[in-house]
Amino acid sequence: MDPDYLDTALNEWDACATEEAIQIRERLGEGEVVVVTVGDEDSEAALRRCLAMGADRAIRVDGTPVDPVSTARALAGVVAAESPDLVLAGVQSSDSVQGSTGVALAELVDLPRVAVVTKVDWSGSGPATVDRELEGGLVDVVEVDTPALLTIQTGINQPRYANLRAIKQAEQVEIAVVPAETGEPGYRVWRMFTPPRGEGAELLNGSTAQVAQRIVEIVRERLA
Amino acid sequence: MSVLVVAEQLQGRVRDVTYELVSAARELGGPVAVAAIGADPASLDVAHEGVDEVVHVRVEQEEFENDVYQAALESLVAARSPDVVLLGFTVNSMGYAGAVAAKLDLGFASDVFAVARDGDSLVATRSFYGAKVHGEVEFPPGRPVLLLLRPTVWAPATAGGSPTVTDHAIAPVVSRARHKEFHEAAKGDVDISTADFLLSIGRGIGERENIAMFEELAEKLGATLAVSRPIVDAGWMTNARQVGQSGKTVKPKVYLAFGISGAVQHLAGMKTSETIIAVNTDPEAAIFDVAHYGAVADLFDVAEELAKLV
Amino acid sequence: MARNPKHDVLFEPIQIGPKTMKNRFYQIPHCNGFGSERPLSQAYFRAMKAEGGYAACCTEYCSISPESDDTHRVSARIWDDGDIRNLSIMCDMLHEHGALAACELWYGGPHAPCMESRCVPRGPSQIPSDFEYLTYAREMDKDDIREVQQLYVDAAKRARTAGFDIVYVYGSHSYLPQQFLTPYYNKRTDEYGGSFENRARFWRETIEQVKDAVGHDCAIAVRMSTDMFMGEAGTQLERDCLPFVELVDDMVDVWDINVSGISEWGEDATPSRFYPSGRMLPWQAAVKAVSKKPVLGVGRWTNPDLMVDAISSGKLDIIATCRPSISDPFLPKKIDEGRLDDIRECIGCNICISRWEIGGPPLICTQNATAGEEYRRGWHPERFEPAANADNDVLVVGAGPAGMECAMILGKRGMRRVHLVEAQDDMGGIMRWIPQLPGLGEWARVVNYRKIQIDKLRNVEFIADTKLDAQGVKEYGAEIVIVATGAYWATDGLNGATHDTIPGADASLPHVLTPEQIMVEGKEAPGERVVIVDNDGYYMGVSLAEKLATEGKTVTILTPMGHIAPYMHFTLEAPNMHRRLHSLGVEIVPYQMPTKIEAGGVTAAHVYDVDGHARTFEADATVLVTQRRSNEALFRELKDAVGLEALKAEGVEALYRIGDCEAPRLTADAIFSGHRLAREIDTENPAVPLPFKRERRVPDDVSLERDLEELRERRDREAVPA
Repeated sequence: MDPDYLDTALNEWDACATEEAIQIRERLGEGEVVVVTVGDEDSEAALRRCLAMGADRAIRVDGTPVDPVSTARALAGVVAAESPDLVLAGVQSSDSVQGSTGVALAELVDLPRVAVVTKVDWSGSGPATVDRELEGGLVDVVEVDTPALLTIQTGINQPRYANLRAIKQAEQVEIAVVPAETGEPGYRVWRMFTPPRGEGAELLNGSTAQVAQRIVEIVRERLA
Repeated sequence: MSVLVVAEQLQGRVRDVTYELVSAARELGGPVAVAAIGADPASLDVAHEGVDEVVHVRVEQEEFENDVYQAALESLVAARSPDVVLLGFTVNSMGYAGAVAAKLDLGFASDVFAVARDGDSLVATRSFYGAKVHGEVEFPPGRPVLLLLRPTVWAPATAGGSPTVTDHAIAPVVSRARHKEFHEAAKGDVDISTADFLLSIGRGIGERENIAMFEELAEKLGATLAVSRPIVDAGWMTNARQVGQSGKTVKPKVYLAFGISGAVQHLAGMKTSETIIAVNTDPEAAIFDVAHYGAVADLFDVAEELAKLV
Repeated sequence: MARNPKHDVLFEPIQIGPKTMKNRFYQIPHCNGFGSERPLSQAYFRAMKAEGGYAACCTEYCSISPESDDTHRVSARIWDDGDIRNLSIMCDMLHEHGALAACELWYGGPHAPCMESRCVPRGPSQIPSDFEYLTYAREMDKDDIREVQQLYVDAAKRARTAGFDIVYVYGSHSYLPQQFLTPYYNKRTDEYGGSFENRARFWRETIEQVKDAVGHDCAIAVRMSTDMFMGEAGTQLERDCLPFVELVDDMVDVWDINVSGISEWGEDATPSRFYPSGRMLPWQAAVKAVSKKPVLGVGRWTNPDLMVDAISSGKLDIIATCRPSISDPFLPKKIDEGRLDDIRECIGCNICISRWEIGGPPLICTQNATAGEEYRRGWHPERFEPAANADNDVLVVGAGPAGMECAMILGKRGMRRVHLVEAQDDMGGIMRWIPQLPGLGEWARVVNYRKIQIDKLRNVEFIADTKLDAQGVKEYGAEIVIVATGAYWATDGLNGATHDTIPGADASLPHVLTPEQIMVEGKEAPGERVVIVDNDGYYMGVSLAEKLATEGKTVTILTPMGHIAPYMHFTLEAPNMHRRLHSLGVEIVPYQMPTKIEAGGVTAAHVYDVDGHARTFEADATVLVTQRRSNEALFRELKDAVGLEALKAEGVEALYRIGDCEAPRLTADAIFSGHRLAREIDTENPAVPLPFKRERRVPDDVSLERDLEELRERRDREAVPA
């Protein structure tokens, strides 16, 4: 994987998590939003975008773990040290779609947690009431003790933009860098390959009536 | 390779993904045990073809709570030392799987869409870099591997197995995140980007007059009508329903495409849909490259037959 | 990326007579306003398409003699050695890119006004042109026929000398050879008129003679209209054209097949409003079925799948494009490289053609601001110089056509950061709603192309749902601020005829509506009867008329002009637009200028009625399509209220405005404006366009040379003391 072909940017789940944190701070009228990521220097661009949006402080854990459990371990030290009242994470990253780092982190710092949160109602102390949207459109309303970790789903808010001045100011902010402790990874990638073209299109044969019948079956099955 | 599947249920109904996990588990050899966790585990229908054992884990909570499932799974892993634990890559699993993996130091990967045995070890395939590449991953030796499998990849195991049934008791769990109630998500205006089922039409429908027939079909099927760019270009529909790079990116459970050839701009906006079914007269149409099911057929004939069926 | 193998057929070479085209992409003859007298503009313009992958590019219609002089319109000319020299530049540049050069030899007959040459054109019969006023030909006798055929032969030899590989004997669009074939033009009773054999004789003989003269190393192309849509009087496919193909097929190396006559040639150069891509395929396929030679044809092709389909299904051999090649000269290359989402698709607005129809000005293109600017401004559609001031951050306010184009080009020029900020929830500006007008769906490609490009540019960020005020702009943090806030339709009847508002015109009232109110806000016209006041002269008034009439309203259009939508004659949309409005029962009343608008109707005066007699048109609603005004409040506030000094104190070094916000003009002009500023963002004064190269004639007589310094001194000496 040639890094020249990779662009790094704040992914949409993390943008929503940052926005939600800033909104909570604004609602409560007090507090501090600290953003933390694990990665190399390139990942500071994402932190600076969060700072430009309005986060107060940023920490980079210097390391490049790949799997969610190692990533969670790398973050755990900072979270434990900061001991925040609420930890927000994106549900998943847009490139790897692991969907597990936040919850693994919660375990490592022993926090209650709810995943895939679409609404947060919290007064700043005591339990928070949050929504989880399940597959099929049913919403599960959950009461969670705090401090807690919530993984935030896109659509929960519209992340604010950062104007050029804020972006420029964020460029000047010093980002704290701490070393990563990752332990052994949960998996190792031993081979990567480009997806084969046209994999898997199963042809529906037979009369149009049979084709239609199969389509109805597939649709019913997938929507059930 | 002993496999433990954790059944997923909602309001007493076992979700389809559970049966898909059973099929995947069978591919790994088995024996296959399915854990049914709930207030009344015996009521959960998990005894499908290929299941060797059903493990009932009785808990106080009626509905899913992540602390409960975590405690149950940790206890099951400790007691049974399965080689592999399979969960669906679902909202519920995302609430506790990572935590169990971190706590027990398991081999772990999520959104896996292929698994294979390589001797005694396991190889799982998942996507990286926004699905631009696939990667095969392997796991630390000597400990269980926990995998979250992508739904709809495996065919569900059929009903009708005759497994043995065992009970596994766990201590009561004090949940720190408690289920309060369910309600239906609010349905907004037409928003193709959040619809579960899109019926999408393209240039192949030929005439503006034919849109009405697909509008009716969509309504009958309970689908939301979407369109590809030529339909918008022709001024037949507004771009609010346009899928693609210059329209909206969609990821429904089912994307049923009629007469869409699959221009790159279009594919960019829908190729991550969970299930793609394409009907097109042109067997060379690019949409078949990303479709899971394809029918080379007259789309009007298929549409008419579909309308008769629903 | 690589080419999709299913498009391979488009890149197979093909033999045409003695020449080989390297692929199936052919730029059909089309005008550009450059002719033979702006030879460098001509050469650079065609060569850009060769660079973009076209295997052959043609001149526009190329007059063979001063007898065929189309002035005021601009054709190419190959009359003499000077024309050979000028057109040879085009040929050489095409050859450098491995493309063939084609020349469309043209003799207009009665359609040639000869306003510059003052010659008398010759024609088959003496009937005035159906395309021009006061234009007559001399009826040809046998000697005339021999002489005119010799004009073709001599011109073909000159074309060969210039370096052309393909030479046309051009007939379609009702020009001379086709006039002989067509009873509508040919009333002769000798052996050149009457029967098919007689009507075909002139064209057959001319092809024969041109073939004899240059056919050994030039391919002979014949362009024919296979249906003039005139019934018995026009050429007909079965009766005339297929027999003609069979008659001369052996001598012809490539057929160029279209439809229509000249007076309604919008049936050939089809506006997207009325026809989709590939509308002439049935006629082209019919010729292909009887000919043994390659057949090429236009169809406003932008989609490679449809091109492949046309070839694979045996309807065409060569994909000819005119407008899509203007909109994107790199169409072949982008298909070859699998970069389909980079194709800048033609929207079929025909603004390019309008310039030829007007007569004189160089062509323009809505989608491609660089069309026609290849030589004179040195613009390349795909290459962008890094800006000298690329370390600046730019704020573009408003993501309409001008703002999108400007942000996109600034992004391609590598500006550090470009923020494109839009008050609405998506890009597009007026091009979000204009494509919702009847038939204008393809115009949405203006937005599609730019949206996809902007999305790819990492240094351009699009910010939606954000309406910036002057304070917000001031504190935004940009060094360069570009205001692109568009324009709006006047709500008070202000117009270019009376230079005043219309009493009673007040769009805050329920019975008075503007285009935006109808299309964007969903304001409903009350009642049954609607009067549309059209002082605009282009598509808006008639499009709304069509929309409202289709929705069941009784519509009357009042205009102070002699015609509704006169500009649509230039875009070739007028005939079918008139048919459509007529069939919808829309009443058109020219020469009427409203003097008062009330809830019950409109009072109007005939513009030439000296006594000022008023006429009343009963109506429940009035739609004002009188004029547009720039949305310049933000710009004015920034420049006047905040002031450039205060902006500078905040770090804003420069403030510009572009597009309709500067002056509401064509969308092509808005896009050009955004493009131009971005191209010249690092010049000394980007607000003022750099001068462009003019191919004016500089006298070559030494005695006429002038020394400017000497001239100034002389005037100073001669000046009357103050």
